[in-house]
Amino acid sequence: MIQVKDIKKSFHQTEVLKNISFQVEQGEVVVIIGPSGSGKSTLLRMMNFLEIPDEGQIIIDSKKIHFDRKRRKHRNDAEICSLRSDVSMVFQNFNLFEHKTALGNVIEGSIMVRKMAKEKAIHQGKEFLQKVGLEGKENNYPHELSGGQKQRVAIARALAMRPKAILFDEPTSALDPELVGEVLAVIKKLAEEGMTMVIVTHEMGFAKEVGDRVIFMDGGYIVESGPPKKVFENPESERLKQFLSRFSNVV
Amino acid sequence: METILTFLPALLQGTLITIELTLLSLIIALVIGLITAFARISNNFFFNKVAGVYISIIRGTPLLVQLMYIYFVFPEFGIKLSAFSAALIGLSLYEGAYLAEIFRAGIKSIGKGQLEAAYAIGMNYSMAMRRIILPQAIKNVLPPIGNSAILLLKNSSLAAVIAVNELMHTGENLATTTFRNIEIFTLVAIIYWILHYPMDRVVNLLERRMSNDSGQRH
Repeated sequence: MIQVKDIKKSFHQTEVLKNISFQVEQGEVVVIIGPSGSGKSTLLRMMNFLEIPDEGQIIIDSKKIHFDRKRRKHRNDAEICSLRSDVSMVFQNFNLFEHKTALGNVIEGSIMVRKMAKEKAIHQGKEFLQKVGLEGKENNYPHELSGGQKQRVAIARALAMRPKAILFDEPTSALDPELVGEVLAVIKKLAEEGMTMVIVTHEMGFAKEVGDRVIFMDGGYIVESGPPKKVFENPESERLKQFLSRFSNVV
Repeated sequence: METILTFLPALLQGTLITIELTLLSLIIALVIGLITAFARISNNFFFNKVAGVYISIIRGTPLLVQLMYIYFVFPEFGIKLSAFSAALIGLSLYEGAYLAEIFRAGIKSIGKGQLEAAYAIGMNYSMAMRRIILPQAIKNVLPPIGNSAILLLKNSSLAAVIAVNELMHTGENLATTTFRNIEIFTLVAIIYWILHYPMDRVVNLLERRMSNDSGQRH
């Protein structure tokens, strides 16, 4: 479904990703954990081409894009733009379109990118809002919604593109603790329905619960990966043990 | 009182030219400003530099000099313009440079998350700008654009020096022939004030609405 091969990325002099390869299968939920600065968000953003790798390949649903230092692609590249709509992204800070209502946010991509008829897009958009538990909030603007509600609108917006996979970049990190649950519940529901997802998170309990596979990143490398039970209960590397010990009360 | 009435028709004639000059140059300047703002934020080295030089020249020299230059120096290079056209071009270029900076600030004020979210649903740059960034940016910069338009209205009086028959020049002509300086220039000032007033109200209204908005947001 998504394949990442030999990805390298530096910002200025700092190497953020040092030769990363992994793949995500259809219907799989992959959770990426790791200390801040380990490159996990950068990796996720690359799968949506919001960051452009210096080197390597990204294959999405058998469409392959090759990156090298000589011919740098821009993230505004036409080929890249068309690939992006197949893999949706949910951001840490929601990034809802502030000038549009909840429904307006959800239908924007269907109408402008998918060229869907307006009535159909609205009908479908209402269904997605209902799915994330926001019935009756269609006409509210983002500034009238709570953080948890905003993030659920963002998830509905991602779903409306009928993507092959959804990427979550720390979806609950900007939320008040009491609002985390409602967002995680929605993601869990999607996991049960078989949606392919890659989730960067600090919610270890959640990672263990919904992840089919957990990837632990540190210092720009994938240090360890495997089923959640193994990664959380029998970590092999020292670094993962150290990292997990800080969450011991949570897991 | 009677003398005032005798001056009014001529002054109102000049007022019409002032309004025409202001509105036309504002419209042209909005187009120039938007294009220049995009050139300024683009990654294209050439466009970026051209826009930068244009803004620098306009902001670094007095409008009076620019108007004189267009009207008196351009003909030396074979570009002959009527006084009105010269004033229109001068004011449009001048206002355009200032509006470009306002637009640029407006676009920059929209967080990069908005552009990323637009990209993430498959939009390309131009669609993201049109549908997501610009509607928000323009709403944010309406008050400064309004203020700039008021300045433009008053700056249009400088067209008097190249003999455009707008309000200021009409007033000057009347004054030199009748020596009724007090009445005439008071009338001219009052007319400018009346012209500015509705624009000022609109700007005020927009500013108030915006502060209400952001009050809700935080």
